Amino acid sequence: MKKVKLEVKNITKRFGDLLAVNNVSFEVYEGETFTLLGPSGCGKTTTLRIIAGLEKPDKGRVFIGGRDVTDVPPRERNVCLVFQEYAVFPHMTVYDNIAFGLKARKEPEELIARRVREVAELLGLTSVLNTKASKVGLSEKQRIALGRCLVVEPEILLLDEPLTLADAKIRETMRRELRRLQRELKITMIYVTHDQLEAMMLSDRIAVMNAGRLLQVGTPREIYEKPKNLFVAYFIGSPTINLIEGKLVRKDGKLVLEKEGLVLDATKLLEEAKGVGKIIGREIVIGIRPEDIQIDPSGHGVWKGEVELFEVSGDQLIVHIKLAEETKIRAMAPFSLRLRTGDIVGVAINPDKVHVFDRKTGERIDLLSIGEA
Amino acid sequence: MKWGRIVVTSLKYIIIGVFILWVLVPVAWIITLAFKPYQEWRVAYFIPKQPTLDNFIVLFKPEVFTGVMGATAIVEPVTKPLINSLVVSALATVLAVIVGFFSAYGASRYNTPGPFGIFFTLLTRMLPPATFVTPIMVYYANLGLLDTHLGLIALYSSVTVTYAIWILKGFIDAIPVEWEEAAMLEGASPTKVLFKVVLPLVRPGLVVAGLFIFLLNWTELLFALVLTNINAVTLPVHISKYVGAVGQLYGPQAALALIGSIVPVTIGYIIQKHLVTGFTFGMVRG
Repeated sequence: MKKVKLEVKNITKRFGDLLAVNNVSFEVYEGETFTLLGPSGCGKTTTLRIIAGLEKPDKGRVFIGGRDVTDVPPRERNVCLVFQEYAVFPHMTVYDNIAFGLKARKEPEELIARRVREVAELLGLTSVLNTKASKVGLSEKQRIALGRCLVVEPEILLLDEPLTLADAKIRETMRRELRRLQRELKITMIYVTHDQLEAMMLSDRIAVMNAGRLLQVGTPREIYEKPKNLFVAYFIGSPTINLIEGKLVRKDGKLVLEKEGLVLDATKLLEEAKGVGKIIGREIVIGIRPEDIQIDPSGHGVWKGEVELFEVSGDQLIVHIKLAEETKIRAMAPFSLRLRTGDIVGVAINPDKVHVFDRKTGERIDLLSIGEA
Repeated sequence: MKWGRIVVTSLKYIIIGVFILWVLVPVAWIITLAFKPYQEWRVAYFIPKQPTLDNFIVLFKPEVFTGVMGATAIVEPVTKPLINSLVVSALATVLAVIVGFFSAYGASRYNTPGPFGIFFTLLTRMLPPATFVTPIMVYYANLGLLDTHLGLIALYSSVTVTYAIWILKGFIDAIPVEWEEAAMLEGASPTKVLFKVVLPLVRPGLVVAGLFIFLLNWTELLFALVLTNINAVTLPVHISKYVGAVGQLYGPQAALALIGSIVPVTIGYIIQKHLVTGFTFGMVRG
């Protein structure tokens, strides 16, 4: 049984008219990396600041290690926060920056020296310990900010978008470093980011937030494979998921998706799926990830379409295919695939990879569970 | 085209030249006058024909030259006003900066005493000081503060604390709140945050505010003229005494003005490095 390190219970926070956090609850287990993921303004940073004690929730409680800390001031919570704009004091040396927390706690001098040296070694800062913090580069600053937190051995390490300021190369290294450190030190880490890729790479579990609400909590795989609603499906994955909406009806023995007079044949796509009978006649949205679509140049597959344009993304091609008027999808294809705009290609889709959502509520409709029931 | 440029350039230098004259001629006049003997005080040339230090000596030993410079009465030696000015200006400045720092911190971080409150501190600066002189004199007469150092220090610091608040609030605003929050999360008490994080970072601000306020205190004439008499007379008051009832002692007056400007010029020179970082704080931050 995993031990619960942090419990957030029904927290709500308002700033004037803005409902920043709306009745959010979740649990974080000891030693895991938990990510709050969402677009800017979704309430993830506010949630983090409430955990740190820098904001007081209007409603709800926060428990750390079973202790109710809702009314405990930040410095007595034993949590530490790495800020987006690294809080590194320019008037102190790197050593004094890292030692700050221990000095504030009046730890003995030998212990401070030993701990600072350990942390500096861990983060590769030994050579700059005596440099003024205003003189070091961005990537060092980031490691100093992290070091300042590690040195006080917090129960929970909070990170607020710590990689946004860094450039792509450094970000990649830091991401790996963070993962390694977390594993090595077995810290409980709560990470805030708007970058879904970063969240997928770093996290044991992810909580997706939007407009102050918590939409889904799960492992990166769960969130990717079984998004609970349209927003999560749309937010996770790059390039973004293809969404086709319409009313599913049976017409002349075929399953078709109707929308404002436009009709798309979905017989081949959905016929085999169990429980499809339950959604006939409903307004739905079908979601298919571009990477779950195979392009067949010979024209076989669920649908046929015309290649409109393609973009190069690393060693992959993102192919835009026009299925019908107003209906276009994106598919990933290997770089080696020879395509020209105007080609008519077949589109093959594994029915298991099709996500179905209710168009009005945006909630996921699990065909399998309907079928079983 | 070429002529146009010449005209523009020469116009530029003429304007700069006029401005330099405008600023420097009075200064040059005071410097040379301080070294001119009695006979040359009213002449129209700069360089004294018989340079002398008499004007300086008479400041400290007025009895030696009684009658020689056309003086009809003895002006007190300058020693006491000089010490008075140093003590009053320095203490009033320190007090204003200390009180200003805490007020500015409250105004910046906790928005006390509200947006109107901080504006209100400027209100006293919007009326001519002469408006306040009479009521203050009445208060001081009743409180026994007339002609005392304490009276001047209290008044100067309460008048200039406004500037300290406004200057320091700008500096404190420029410090990211996250820095304080980080210190707090790492276990620092609010007092520690204030003294270990905020105070060192606003040091250039303290220097700027202190220098500015010191200069204001050092040159203040009106209040000191009304509120002091013998005991707590300050330098500006003393300077004004050389021309008036005792005669027209232009030379000694210029000499004292010169001495009086040594202190601020020296301070300015020593801390000009701070002054630059101070005024560009927003740019060098981080």
